[in-house]
Amino acid sequence: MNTTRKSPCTTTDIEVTPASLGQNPTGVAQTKTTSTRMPGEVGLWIFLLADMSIFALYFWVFIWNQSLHPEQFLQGQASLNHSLGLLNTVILLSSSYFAAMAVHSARGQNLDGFRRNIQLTIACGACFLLVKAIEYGEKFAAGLHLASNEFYSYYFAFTGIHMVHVVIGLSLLSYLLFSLTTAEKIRQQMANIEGTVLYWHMVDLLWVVLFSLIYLLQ
Amino acid sequence: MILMQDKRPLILVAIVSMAMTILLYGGGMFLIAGYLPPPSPLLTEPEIASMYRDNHSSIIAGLTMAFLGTGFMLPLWVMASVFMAEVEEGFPYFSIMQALCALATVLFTALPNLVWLAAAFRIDRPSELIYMLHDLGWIMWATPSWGFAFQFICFAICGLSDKRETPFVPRWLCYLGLWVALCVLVTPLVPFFTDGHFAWNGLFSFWVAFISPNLWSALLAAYVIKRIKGNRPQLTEGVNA
Repeated sequence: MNTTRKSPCTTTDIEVTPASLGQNPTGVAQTKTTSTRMPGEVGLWIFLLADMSIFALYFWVFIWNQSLHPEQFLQGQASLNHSLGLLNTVILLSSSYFAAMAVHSARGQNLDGFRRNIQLTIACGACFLLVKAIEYGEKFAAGLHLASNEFYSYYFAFTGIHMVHVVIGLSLLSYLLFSLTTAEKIRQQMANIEGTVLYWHMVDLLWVVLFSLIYLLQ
Repeated sequence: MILMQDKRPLILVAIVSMAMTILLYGGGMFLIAGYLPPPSPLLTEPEIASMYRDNHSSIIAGLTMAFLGTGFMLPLWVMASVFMAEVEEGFPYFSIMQALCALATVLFTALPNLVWLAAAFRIDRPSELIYMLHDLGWIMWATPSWGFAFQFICFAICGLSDKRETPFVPRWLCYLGLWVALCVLVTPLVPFFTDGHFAWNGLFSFWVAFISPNLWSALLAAYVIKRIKGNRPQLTEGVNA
């Protein structure tokens, strides 16, 4: 991945002329730089928006089917383990906080802070998968699976697809952890760090909507 | 010995590859054989058998055309590997992997046509056998997606590693390829469903998972043609180096 490439939307240089200022005691044109840097790159944002659009389609399909089978969805929601769902929401929100702190540390060239926060993010992601595995195990033990009914089809399919996103995110975070071992490498790979953390935030955001939709919305 | 210093003839390859795939595969399978939209998995045994018996000639003609059309998918993908190999230093692992996965994609797209052709070959055979061959063909066609997924991942790795001043494809196309790889992720769910959005005729398993990679391939062809036309000297740079 190209890491030295500059984002097309990085900084906006605004030239401030005497006329625009109204007054300038030195009579020399001054240049003021306003930073409006967008994290990541345009292609990554296209990817994130496209992926969120597909999930928006999943959400719409879920709501549409819920309106067709309200009783079945109500029963399905009641059978879910809300405590584990809430726990996973807290875990992922915490992971997003650590991921944001990792970027903050990376920008400050704080290697220890960066590595510690990435480790905490990975630990949260792994806990999320563990809790999800426990939840799936409960359902399988109760004889519920992908083809049980409409509600469980969507429950397993959508949360499963989200879980694949979590695994991809964990792989990217692990790559950062094992490859960025010096402050210099962090400086060089800043675009990759921001890109990975943006992806992780999207995974978190998608889970918050999935949790609200599948576990709570009636 | 063939030296591919001048890549302009590849423009013709890309155009012929795309045009013949659309004409033969799209025209044969979807227009002549009438497999658009795909027949619902909920159709009963007599309905499927009568579909093959009533449209015997058009199904055989359409599927034979589609089978021939699948072969034309390969030249474009091998061409993509040629450009990918320019980016890779040393052994071109991802270029080879992409080409092999393209071959797998072509095989998994072509073989179901033969299964459906077998179903239509002897229309006097018992309906249940026609029904079984029909199901086998659709499951074989709709379920495997790893070929496409690995192709897009390999392509994205090479595309995003291209540090030349003018990369062979824009970076956003590589990211879009990764998104397509995620879109086709749902197809292994096909055997679980006879109805709904994950069935072989469903929104996610067919419309999204089939259309997104093909649109992306069309974009790739357009960008590669543009690249060859617009910047010929830089394309040979990697070969000469």
